[in-house]
Amino acid sequence: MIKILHVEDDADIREIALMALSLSGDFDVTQCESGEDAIKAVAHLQPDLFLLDVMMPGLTGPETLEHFRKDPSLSEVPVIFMTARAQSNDVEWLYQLGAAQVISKPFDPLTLSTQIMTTMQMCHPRIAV
Amino acid sequence: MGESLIIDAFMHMQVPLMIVGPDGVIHHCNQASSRLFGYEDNTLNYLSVFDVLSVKTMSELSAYIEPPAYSAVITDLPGINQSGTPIPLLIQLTAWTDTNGDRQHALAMRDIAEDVKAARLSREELKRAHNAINGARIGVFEYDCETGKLSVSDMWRELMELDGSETQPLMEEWRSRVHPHDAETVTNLLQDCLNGESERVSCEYRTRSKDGKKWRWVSADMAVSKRDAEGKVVQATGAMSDITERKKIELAYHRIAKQFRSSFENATIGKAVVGLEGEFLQVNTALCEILGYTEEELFKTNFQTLTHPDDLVKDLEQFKRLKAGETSSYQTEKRYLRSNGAVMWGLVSVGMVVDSNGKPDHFISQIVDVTEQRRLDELKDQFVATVSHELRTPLTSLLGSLSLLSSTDAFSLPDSARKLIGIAQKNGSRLESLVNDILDFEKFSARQMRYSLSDHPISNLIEDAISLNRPYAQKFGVQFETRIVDKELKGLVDPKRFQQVMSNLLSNAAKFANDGSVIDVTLEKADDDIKVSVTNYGSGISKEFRKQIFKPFSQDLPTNNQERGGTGLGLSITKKIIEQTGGAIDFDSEENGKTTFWFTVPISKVSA
Repeated sequence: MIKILHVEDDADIREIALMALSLSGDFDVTQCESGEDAIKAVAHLQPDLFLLDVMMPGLTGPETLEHFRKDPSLSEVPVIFMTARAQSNDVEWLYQLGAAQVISKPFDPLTLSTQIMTTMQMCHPRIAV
Repeated sequence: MGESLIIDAFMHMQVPLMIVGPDGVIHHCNQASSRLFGYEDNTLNYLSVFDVLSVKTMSELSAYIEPPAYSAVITDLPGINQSGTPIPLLIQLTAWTDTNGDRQHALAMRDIAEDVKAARLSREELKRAHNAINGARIGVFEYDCETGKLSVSDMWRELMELDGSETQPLMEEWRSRVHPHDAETVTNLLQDCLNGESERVSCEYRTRSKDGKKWRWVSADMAVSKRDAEGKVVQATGAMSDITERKKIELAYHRIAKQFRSSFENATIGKAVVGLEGEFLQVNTALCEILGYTEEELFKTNFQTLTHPDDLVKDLEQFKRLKAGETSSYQTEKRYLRSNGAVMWGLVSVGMVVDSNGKPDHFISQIVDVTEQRRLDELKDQFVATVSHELRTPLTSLLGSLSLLSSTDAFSLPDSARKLIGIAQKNGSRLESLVNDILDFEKFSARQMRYSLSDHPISNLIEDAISLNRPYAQKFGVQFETRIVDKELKGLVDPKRFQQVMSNLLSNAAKFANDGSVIDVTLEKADDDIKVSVTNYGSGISKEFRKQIFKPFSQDLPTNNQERGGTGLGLSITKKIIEQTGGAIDFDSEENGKTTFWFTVPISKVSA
């Protein structure tokens, strides 16, 4: 099972993502509704992947990531950003922050699992699908 | 003893002398005289005077003396030298009767060849000067202070259009013709000269033409030409010329200069003349206002000091390139520091002015205060970003839910529900593309779209676009067919934007094609460009719609219940992408026939 920490302020989107990721049975998903909550939860979670919304009230996705990266044990965890601002320069900026992938909203929940698995394989080639 | 001394003196005197007897024989002749006529010393004695002077008889020579005078000065009797050449002479002739009762003549002579020559030259000089004065149409006048009389040259008369028939004295005539506005100034000036206060005066004034219909400009100079023993001016001489044409040009130039100064000074945008080192040489009121400095303060500083430090490096680079002649002008948006420390965003255009040798002389800067515009732009960007987020978030939930619902693996639904889900999905997607189009359009309009241009094989990009759009085409029962002449052709494109262009053209072509028809996609080289064409067979584009097809928010009226939708922004965005990345786009269409949309992209410089 791949442990995912999903941070998203919109409850409906959290619900859809959870349903989509449950379909395959490959993922153990923990969800937080804010960056602040995620920072509290992450310590005992040790996730394999961060799935972060970009624009959130309070800490934004990139700011939350900055906090995660301060912990050496989390510095190598791959991150996927989900953004409703998918203009090319925004996407470029997210990759510069170290995103393994950027998924633009609206996203197709049916392909979400595949996209995450592809990213995991890319970052950790030994993980078997 | 005394006699021989006299003879010696006679012989050696430097003035040519000779004494001629009644028969014309030269009895005595000195050395200077022999030399005058080109003879050896003493060889002239006893020759006849008729051999050396142009007279034939003694009475002819004597006739020059009119009694009771016994001497005469003769200037019209040339001598003849030994070789027969005439010599112009001045002769002092004296006659007397000796003790024998014979009539004797003594001649003292002077060669006046040089004098004659000088006189001729001075006559010629005078003639030339006269010609020059007339040629230059300069009228000359002379004023006699004692009589108050004005004497003038023919040219002066010509300039004043006077043929001699005038009834009043010239001075009065002249006075009556001077423009009333100029009369006082001119009279005072001339009076200064006549009073002896100024040695020379110059003035320009208007005179009325003889018929009184026109005013002509003249320039006049006058100088003191004669004073009496006490130094009082008795005569003044002057020259006058017509300067109407010059004055016209001068006045036009002054008017233009005045208009230019006024347009510079009163412009609503900031303007400055900037020196080669960036110093302000001239500034207008608007510039002082937007920068918050007085003119004097700006003259003491330069543009570098007033430019925000973060924008200075870029600005100086452009300034340097301009100065080096690499560009003739540049435009930039940069920040200035106002006198109160606030930031002023300026849209600056700088042009260079060169001197007659082509060397940089100064710069002309125009500065528009765009601070408020920048603030509004930032607000708008923020608004667009927010709207984008706020619209996409509910769309994500909506489309996500529908997608999960429609997934057959997860749920089993009755057909009617499935159909309704399909409708909801289709319209949700339409809403998504509307949001995308509007955001794109906004970016293009503000020219904020950034392109990542690189070299790509265009055939690959076309194949990708066709794969992506095939499902859409299948819905309309049409197929794509490609004809690619050169698979290796590389173009300079932004792949993502290229896909956007292709998707727009392919989906349009599919949407408006006859059911079951084929859409041709071709790729070929056209000069320095790569040309891509998409051709469909359908109802074609109506004549009315053709003119506005690339305009934003334009859509043709639907026919045959074809499915439309969209914002009417697709082609407008496509055109902007193509043009902003260095290509061109157009179409040919036959009503109820073939429609071809084609566009070009620049061929890659590294293309094989």
